[in-house]
Amino acid sequence: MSISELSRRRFLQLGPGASAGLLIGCGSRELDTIASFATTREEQRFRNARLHIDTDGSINFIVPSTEMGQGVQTALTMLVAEEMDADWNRIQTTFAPYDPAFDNPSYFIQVTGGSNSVSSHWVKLRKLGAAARAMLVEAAAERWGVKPGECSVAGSIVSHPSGKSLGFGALAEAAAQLAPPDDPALKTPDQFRLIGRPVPRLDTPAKISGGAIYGIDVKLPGMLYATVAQSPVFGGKVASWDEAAAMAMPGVRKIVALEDGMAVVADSHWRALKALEALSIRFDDGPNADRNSEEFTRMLEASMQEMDKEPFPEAAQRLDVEYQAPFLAHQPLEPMNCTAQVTPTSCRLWVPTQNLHGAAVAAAEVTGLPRQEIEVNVTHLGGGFGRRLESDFVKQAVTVAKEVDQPVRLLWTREEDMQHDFYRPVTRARFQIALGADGTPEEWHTRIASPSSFQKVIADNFPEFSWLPVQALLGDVNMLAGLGTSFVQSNPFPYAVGKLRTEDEIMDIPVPNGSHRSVQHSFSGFCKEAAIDECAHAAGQDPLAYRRRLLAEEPRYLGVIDLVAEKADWGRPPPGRFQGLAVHRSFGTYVAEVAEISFAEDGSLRIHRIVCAVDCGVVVNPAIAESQVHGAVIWGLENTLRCEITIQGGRVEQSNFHDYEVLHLHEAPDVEVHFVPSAEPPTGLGEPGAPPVAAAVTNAIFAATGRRIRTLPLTRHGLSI
Amino acid sequence: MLTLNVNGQTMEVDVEPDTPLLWVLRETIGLAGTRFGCGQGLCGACTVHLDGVATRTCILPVSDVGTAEITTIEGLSADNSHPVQQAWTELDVPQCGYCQSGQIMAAAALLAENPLPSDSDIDAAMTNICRCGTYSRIRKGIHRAARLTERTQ
Repeated sequence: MSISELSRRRFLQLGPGASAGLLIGCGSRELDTIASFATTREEQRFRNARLHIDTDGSINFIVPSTEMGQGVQTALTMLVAEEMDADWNRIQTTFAPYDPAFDNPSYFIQVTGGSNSVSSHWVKLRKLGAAARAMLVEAAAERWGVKPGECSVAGSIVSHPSGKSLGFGALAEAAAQLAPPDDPALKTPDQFRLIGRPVPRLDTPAKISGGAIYGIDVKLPGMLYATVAQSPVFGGKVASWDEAAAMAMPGVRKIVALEDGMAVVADSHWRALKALEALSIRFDDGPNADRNSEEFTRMLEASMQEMDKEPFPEAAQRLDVEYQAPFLAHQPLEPMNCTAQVTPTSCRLWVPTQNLHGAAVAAAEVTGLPRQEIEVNVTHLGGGFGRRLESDFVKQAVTVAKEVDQPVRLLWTREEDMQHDFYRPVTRARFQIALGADGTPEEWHTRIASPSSFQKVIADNFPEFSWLPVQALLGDVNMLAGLGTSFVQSNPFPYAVGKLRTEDEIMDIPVPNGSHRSVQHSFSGFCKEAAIDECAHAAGQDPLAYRRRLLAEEPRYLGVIDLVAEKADWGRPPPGRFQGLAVHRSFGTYVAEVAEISFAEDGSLRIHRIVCAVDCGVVVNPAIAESQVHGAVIWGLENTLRCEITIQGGRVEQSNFHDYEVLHLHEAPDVEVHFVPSAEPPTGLGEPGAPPVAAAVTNAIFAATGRRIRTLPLTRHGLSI
Repeated sequence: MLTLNVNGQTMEVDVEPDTPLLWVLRETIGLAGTRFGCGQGLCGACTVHLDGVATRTCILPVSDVGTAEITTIEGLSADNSHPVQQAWTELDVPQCGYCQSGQIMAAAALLAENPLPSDSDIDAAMTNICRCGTYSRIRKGIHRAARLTERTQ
């Protein structure tokens, strides 16, 4: 993919010159209905176009989601190609620019997140492919004077039993003259040829040659380079700076004041960095300069004490336990960046973002231009993990680009990235569990306290609704994931317990937070699954059998538990090794994991393997699916073991990978992934592998040592690998 | 003016001598496949070969390069045919792919020095960070590339 291919302008210009063939689209809002099909020069129709079959047989599909490694470029293309019966080798893809035609069907804005790219496009994109196939078949049948139902399609070739056959390219023009079918029939899973196969990723060749274009690789004629320094203390402001010293540095073009920091623009990134140093910014730390992690923990502990105001019912056995997990950073390897070109009447962006909508909202706010006139072109993303749902860096790039005549690429340092992330919030939960004589929880009372980002998500993405007290009305959509019974959360507590009661408190903690791969499931998967393990041990029962009994009415939970038990050989670990089990549903997907651990002679922890059983419905591409679960397990494991963001003096203490120690290759255990065969519609896969990891490991540690870990990371308990 | 030998070509660059080689490759010469991750030599996204040795370029002043032969990902092969790239293709190693130029260069340097590395050799040599967690496929990829190399010799 070259830069020119990223331009929406060029994309729209496809029409007059290259409109030969069948151009086919579907509106994003009329779910599952197909509209505006025929080849036309009208711009509006091109804007909806997702699929172009050229007269030479080549097929271009516009991928509506952004590719951040999760494999959507391949998986979504497979959905279309499957129903078309297209020749996979003739398909090219481009990434959708900002346009409501490419809105996420579940969110009604153009955003990639929440592990729903495949599930939300599952019917829609297959219908797109099926409609194209039906029109091509009809064109062939008309030409041959036969019935469409007598024709078959394979490898982009329509055939008739009489021996006639024509390729898609030869049929495209005629197909474009036909009316699209209202509701094209879809294949049943037993008819799939591509779906379910480990089709090679479309993005691999460019990603191993160095040729894939990430945001940092965008280069435009005359482009300048900007970098930033923001107030290290959250809520601080710039107090003073030495503009003359910075401007005297070679290649410096401009110094720009930002909301809470400064940007330097120069003719190279290195020169911008050096001038930023010479700028000698002094910050006014503001009201948060004495805030710290210990204080935040005390606030959370105080919230937990609210539970003492109500009596804890009498029972055969009672558990009263508290769990906590820290702030976590995302740290995708490509630092935050955005390239912007702004004139009084236009704003063009090239940006690695999960949220094209949010980028346009941010740019519209800075430029005063209407949102729909903002051009947003998306590149490959060097990781997303939720960090790139935010548009803070887009706002900065547009602010800077307004001040210069050339396009500007704004790029953060790793240190800025580490200290100005939107962190997985620190969260604490307390469980009061009353067990009956048979060990069953008769009452399960949960209190959870955490800061929340929901109001900010609304303000950033739906500014027209920012007056609504969304948080006050709904609480936090994430906080109770898997723990509560609230109507705003989609994964209710699964265990059959007598009486379930959940309460929460949203804490006011001055640290930015946001969506972090698997959001609050990373916490609820930990504390719920460790607590149920505590219940099993208190009841003197095998943790697996105990869960099975409380999930007797949940066949898909049982399915993954039974599969993981078989694959991990539950209950029969090799000598000296110990097992821990956890199961959690998130983003519609059921995942059970067994961690197998031991302790070395020096007391260090060994994590030998993590066995995963996953029920995500139909597995579109097993090779990509496996890699997603692998990655999520590594993510969950580093956050179990040692990753932690701490606050001192109102600022993040960590600054780079030496003190935020993510997992390295030599530390990565064997990860085995097994899928439950299923014909159910696909559910999420990018995130669900992460939530069970922490409890699987800490439950194994309990099995080995009798020591119950209730706060993360493990380094806080003197445990390390 | 400094003279550099990049992917077999000699070129002159006019940059401050303290400029890290990474930025000279990316911005001055236009070889963007070598990537910036941390700026402190911690993550390895910026790995290239200097006289065949895997080297992190985000902390290497261009003036220290001297006459060393620089090989970037673009110079490893013209058509993804290096055994490491072949193995990476077979196993679909990359996810987001951002770290993979550096991973591939580190793996190629390891195999050049040690054609049949053991798991512990790989553990010791492959210290590059991958945030997507592709580590197990990287390990398999190196073993696979070793076999591919063996076969062609």
